[in-house]
Amino acid sequence: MHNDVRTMEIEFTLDGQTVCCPEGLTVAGAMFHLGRRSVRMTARTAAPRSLFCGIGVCCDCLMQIDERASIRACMTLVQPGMRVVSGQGAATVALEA
Amino acid sequence: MSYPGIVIIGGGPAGMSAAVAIATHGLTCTIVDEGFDLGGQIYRKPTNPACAPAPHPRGEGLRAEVARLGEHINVRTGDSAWGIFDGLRVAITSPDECTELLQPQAVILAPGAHELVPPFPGWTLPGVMTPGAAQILTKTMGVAPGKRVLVAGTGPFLLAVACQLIDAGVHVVSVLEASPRSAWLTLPLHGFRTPAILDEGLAYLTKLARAHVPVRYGRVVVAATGETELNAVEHAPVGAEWFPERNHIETEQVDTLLIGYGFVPRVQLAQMAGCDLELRPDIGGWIPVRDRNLATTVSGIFAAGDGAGVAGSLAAALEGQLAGMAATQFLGAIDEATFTAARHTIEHELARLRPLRSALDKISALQPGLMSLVRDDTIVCRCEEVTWREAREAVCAGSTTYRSLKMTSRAGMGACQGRFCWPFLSRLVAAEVKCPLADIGPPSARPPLGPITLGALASGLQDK
Repeated sequence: MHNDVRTMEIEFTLDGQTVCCPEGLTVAGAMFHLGRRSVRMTARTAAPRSLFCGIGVCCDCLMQIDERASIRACMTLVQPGMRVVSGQGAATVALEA
Repeated sequence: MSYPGIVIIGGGPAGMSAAVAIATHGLTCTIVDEGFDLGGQIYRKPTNPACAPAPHPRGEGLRAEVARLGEHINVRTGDSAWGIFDGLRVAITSPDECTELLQPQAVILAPGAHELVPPFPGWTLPGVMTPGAAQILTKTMGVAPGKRVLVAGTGPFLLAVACQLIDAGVHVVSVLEASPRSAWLTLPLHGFRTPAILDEGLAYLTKLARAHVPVRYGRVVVAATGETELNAVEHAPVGAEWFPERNHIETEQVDTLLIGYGFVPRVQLAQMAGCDLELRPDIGGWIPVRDRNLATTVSGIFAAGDGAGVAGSLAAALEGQLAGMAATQFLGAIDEATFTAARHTIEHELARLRPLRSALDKISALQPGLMSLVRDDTIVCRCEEVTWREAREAVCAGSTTYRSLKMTSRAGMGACQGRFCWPFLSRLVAAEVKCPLADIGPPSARPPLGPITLGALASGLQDK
């Protein structure tokens, strides 16, 4: 699957743990690379969801990325130091004073 | 703000061809595309440098042309166009959350299409995805979608993706094509004017045969099962109209199911702009009404490519060229005679592609049997997790339009705005209330088209 070009590994955090993946992966791609295909639990039935359409339309792969909620993991490239958090069911809203 | 020229939404074959046509005639244009690079889905470039670049001469050719005419073409990849307001004002937001309102004199909509997947038990499990999603993982990132993969649905795209997975070393168990083999065998009759496309199809079949991947015709997936991820798929042979023979179900242990039944044009921006739509199930569903110049019913807005009726990348490039020239003529930069001559040539080329395409459309036309896959507890709206029982109760209580069904059952209310559920939910509703599909209507489209933050919205309100 890979040719001879050497790829840089990128370090980022997933749910607080440091992980790494080759450069040029979307967050959704990185989840698959790490063997964690489920990216979030749904709000109503707490069912696992993963990448589905892959092109930013279905919004199944929404994750929290760098403290921003509901980011499409399939449309976001992993950046060094990125903080990725998988969805844990019903959304909670934290209001800052 | 600098003058955007003609704004083109979508940087696939249609959008790039439109830009080249416009720039060639000396006008300026801006291509807005959410992707990481120009190319759209079909000519998508690898993002992982370790992936062998996909050698697609047509895609590379178009990207090179756009680059050569760079003085006249602004390329805004990564930016999302999420609304059209007051005629021709296009709202776009960059990945770093800056919102801008572009004010062009003409707009070309070339947003492409997304895949069509019918609801069936288990279709929300991780491991079930569109063939396109797996193609992107494999081709552009070098990531395998899974270990044992079943490809199912209808249309030649399944074969293309299965071959790409094989090339990438992924184990493809089999390809299930809903239509009978006899229908596919008629294709050479319709494709003799486009032998290169037929050859491409044959090459896929040959590669699959060499890799011992069976293509099983006349079979549909009826259910996907697994606890937290997919671990098995049930499929069955189909009778007339794709109704599965449930007493002949086969169960296959796989961790990945790629399922697609064709494509749906992305018409939401056309809708927001007020363009009239018409229902054309044969080419993907609701499409903008267009005249011979690919002008929509809103003055200054043109539509080209799969987003205006699914016809494939070759037709999309031709339509893009025509829409680009039509928009240029609309702004008075080409004379009538030049335009008419160019249009004649393009129409001739499009006509050459049509017989094979129409034959493919007929083979892959959705059949009512697919609607029988839905069980009472099957989720029909993925975003809001609404089951068919809940949606049907709302329908029986009188919610027979998209708007009212959304209000009463929440089906179609989620982040995808009905784009994934409605193509099938509208059919289920039409069958339930026994009315023509056209009476049910398309989902309403409201800005923003994708999720954007309030901060990004607010950034656009500041005076610049």
